[in-house]
Amino acid sequence: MRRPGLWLGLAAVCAWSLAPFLWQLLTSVKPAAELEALPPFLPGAITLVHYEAIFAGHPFARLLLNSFIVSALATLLALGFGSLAGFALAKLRPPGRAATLAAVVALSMLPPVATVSPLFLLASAAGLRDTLVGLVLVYAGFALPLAVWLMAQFFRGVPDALYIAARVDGCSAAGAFVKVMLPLAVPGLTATGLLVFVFCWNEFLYALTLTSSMAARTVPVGIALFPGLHEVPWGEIAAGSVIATLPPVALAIVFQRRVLAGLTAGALKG
Amino acid sequence: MAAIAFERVSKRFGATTVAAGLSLQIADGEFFVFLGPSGCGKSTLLHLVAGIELPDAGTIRIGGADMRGVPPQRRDVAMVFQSYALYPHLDVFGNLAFPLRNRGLAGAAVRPEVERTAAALGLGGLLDSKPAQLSGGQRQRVALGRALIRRPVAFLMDEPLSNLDATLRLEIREEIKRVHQAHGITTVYVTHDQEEAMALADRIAVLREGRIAQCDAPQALYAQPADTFVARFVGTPPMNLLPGAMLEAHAALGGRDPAAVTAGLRPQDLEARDGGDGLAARVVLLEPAGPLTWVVAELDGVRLKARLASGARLAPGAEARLAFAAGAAHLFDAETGLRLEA
Amino acid sequence: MRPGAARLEPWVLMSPALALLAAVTALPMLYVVWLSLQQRALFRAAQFTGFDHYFRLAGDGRFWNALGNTLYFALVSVAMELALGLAIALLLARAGRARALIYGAVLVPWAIPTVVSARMWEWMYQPELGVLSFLAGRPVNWLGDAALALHAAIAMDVWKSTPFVALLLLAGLQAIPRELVHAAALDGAGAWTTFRRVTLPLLAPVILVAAVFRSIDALRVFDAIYVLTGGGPANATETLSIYAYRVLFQMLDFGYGSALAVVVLAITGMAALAYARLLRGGIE
Ligand SMILES: Nc1ncnc2c1ncn2[C@@H]1O[C@H](COP(=O)(O)OP(=O)(O)OP(=O)(O)O)[C@@H](O)[C@H]1O
Ligand SMILES: [Mg+2]
Repeated sequence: MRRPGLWLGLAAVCAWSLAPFLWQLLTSVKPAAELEALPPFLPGAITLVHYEAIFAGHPFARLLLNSFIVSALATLLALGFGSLAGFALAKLRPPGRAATLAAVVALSMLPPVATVSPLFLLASAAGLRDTLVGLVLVYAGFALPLAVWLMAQFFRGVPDALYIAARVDGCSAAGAFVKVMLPLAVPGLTATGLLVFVFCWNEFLYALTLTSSMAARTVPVGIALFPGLHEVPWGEIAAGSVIATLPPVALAIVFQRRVLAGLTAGALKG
Repeated sequence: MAAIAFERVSKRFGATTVAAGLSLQIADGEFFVFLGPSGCGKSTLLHLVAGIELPDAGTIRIGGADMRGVPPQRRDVAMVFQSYALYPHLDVFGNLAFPLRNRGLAGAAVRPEVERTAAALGLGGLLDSKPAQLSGGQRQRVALGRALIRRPVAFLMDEPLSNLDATLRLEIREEIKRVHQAHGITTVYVTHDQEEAMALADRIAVLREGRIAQCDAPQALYAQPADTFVARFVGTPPMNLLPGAMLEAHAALGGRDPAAVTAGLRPQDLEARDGGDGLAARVVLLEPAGPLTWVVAELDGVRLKARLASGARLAPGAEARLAFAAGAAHLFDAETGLRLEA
Repeated sequence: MRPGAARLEPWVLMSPALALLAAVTALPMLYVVWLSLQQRALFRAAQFTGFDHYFRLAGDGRFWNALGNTLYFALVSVAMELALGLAIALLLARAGRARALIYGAVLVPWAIPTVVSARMWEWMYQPELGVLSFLAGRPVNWLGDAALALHAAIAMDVWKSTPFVALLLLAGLQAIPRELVHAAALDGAGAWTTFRRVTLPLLAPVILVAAVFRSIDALRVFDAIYVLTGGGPANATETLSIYAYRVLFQMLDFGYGSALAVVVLAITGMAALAYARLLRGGIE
């Protein structure tokens, strides 16, 4: 392919990917008056009033904290349970492992709306509605199929001989898992953890239906239900959007190689 | 140190039979080799001893004790692998110390043990290296050291030489034999390389389809193969097998019906001359092999390999005379392939 | 340790995961079917009604509208995502040294929370103040016009999801042995022929996988459209998931809402099965 055309194409791809977010970024630092008309495109002066407003006027900090707690705990839970199960499937080879893996993959395709009504009733009955614990359990459960599948793939890549060596060198199955398999699976754990964290951070439907107050409400719900009395506060929404976007985007960019590995391993292997 | 026994052990994976009622006694301190073609289940036999796999039926004993229900970590065997299986996240010290620490040896007691073993294997300067920084030979020495360091009751070795190049292979082979002689630890060694098996073993069991085709000392295996499979498998180049009819009424048949016999002649025992008595065969090609030259010849569509007689002049296309001593021929039943005693 | 213990070991290690999966996904999946067979308003006693809700579906115009919207949305957005994704993947495969930078940019839409991307596009779609009307040169009521709104949602989904498709196809492209492409060139094939006869057939399984993943996602779409339009105007963008959500949590009819949810479940399940069979049978 001819070079200039290639670079033009790549530039267009970058622009297309970044433009909406950059526009939101500009919006978030424009003085309110300049949001009333277009043009001008660029802000006459950069202001942080919208950012101040969401933290002062709305409990945005609480939303962030909730999101962090729920996503981090759910990720830890999914990683812990998922790596144990992935290890057992990949290295202990129980009879019925193919069927188990198939069931796990099937569960990962479950549409969230299909289980939102039962989960609402079950969470109410268990007293877990509008609690962080409830959300953590639901998120971990929903991320688990992906975690099990990815970890099984990564553990399959670790030679059997290493597991066998650990066993004859004096480890129980669990000991071999902790002392040998887990240290070797760190790249896999990172990739899986990143995907699960981003998945939980971005989740909306369960957060919307299983929370009803600031006690457990997460950032996406806060942004979707952004309060506005008469008109929509676009500047503040933009500011909230930028903040909500930073953690997953920063993770995706910093750990780009791991995320790509996880995305493609999840979809292509098997 | 301990004896190891298989008692009517059976194991299968789906349609693949790895062991079919296998029974075997390996003596305390013996160097025992399982020899068999690729994929015949050699590794699985070691896994059965180690407790990684469980037999479908039958009993495995180590030191007389029934191993049923004893997990690998309590069988006190050590394993050496073709792929080395060094823990990539640990340095050489960590690899050697791993089995000691798992047995609860205190930190201070570990270092002298590790250093002693490393020195014995010429690894003294490498304790801080990661496996990825080592050469193949060094890696296999570390693997040997990791097995040796805790004086297990038995070594299980799964083709430990097959990833090494030819020179290193001989070097590590000697190392393994030396370790065995020095410590007298029962060693079960699997390989598909008959030369390796002959060089190392006290006894060899040749495996075929989950059964033991023959179990004997290397010399006996070579001198009296129990069937045509073993005859072809042990010895290089492989033994020539030809229908008894080709030998007609040769004295070697001992008066048996030629049609009921398969005759086996080792290429070493078959001399290709450029005249005189013997089977007349057409020379196909010559293979110089240093001290001697092999002659590949064809006789009634059967390819035979023979040793070129000193001074004989043969070229491809020429007619050769293949001569052998009557006692050199091995006779097998043409139907079953089993050895016929003279 | 008893002999059976070693055989139990894997199941012991898997039990935490299996228990959580059972509690949070498998059990609710059975429960939703049971709910759909009941007359059940929230906080009132349930009454078993058998398949009544499913018969009611047949005569429910709003259901058929939602089904049509869902299928149209899935079909158009997945087709566009595959086409665009393939083009982008072919570009990215030649990115050379700028690779890390460009991959980073492409990952941004993937990583942005769907809700945020819906808010971003809602702002861009504003008839008077939105940048897209400005670009169009006149105020366009993108989200208020029943003929436009679903397409506006599709455009947003294409923006958000194409990166995933592109990155997946890129991985597939990079797995194609270079020798094959070179051999085709030596055999005298031009760039287009090589692409048609070598690259595309080898990439077909990956394209199919991308299609599966995207279709299943698109058929269950909720947050993107719910936040962008709320299903309006006049239900023009109401998908099955949104309709189910509204029946469940706005009308508080858990029986009928669950029946709608079961339909979503069945449709995604069928898509998954159809593709699984294609994957097994069709390719190679
Ligand atoms: N865990 C397992 N599950 C299913 N089949 C297995 C398993 N382990 C081994 N097999 C099969 O059993 C047979 C014997 O395998 P094994 O590895 O013991 O052979 P081997 O003689 O060591 O082969 P090689 O020379 O290649 O190392 C093979 O056909 C293999 O595919
Ligand atoms: Mg093997």
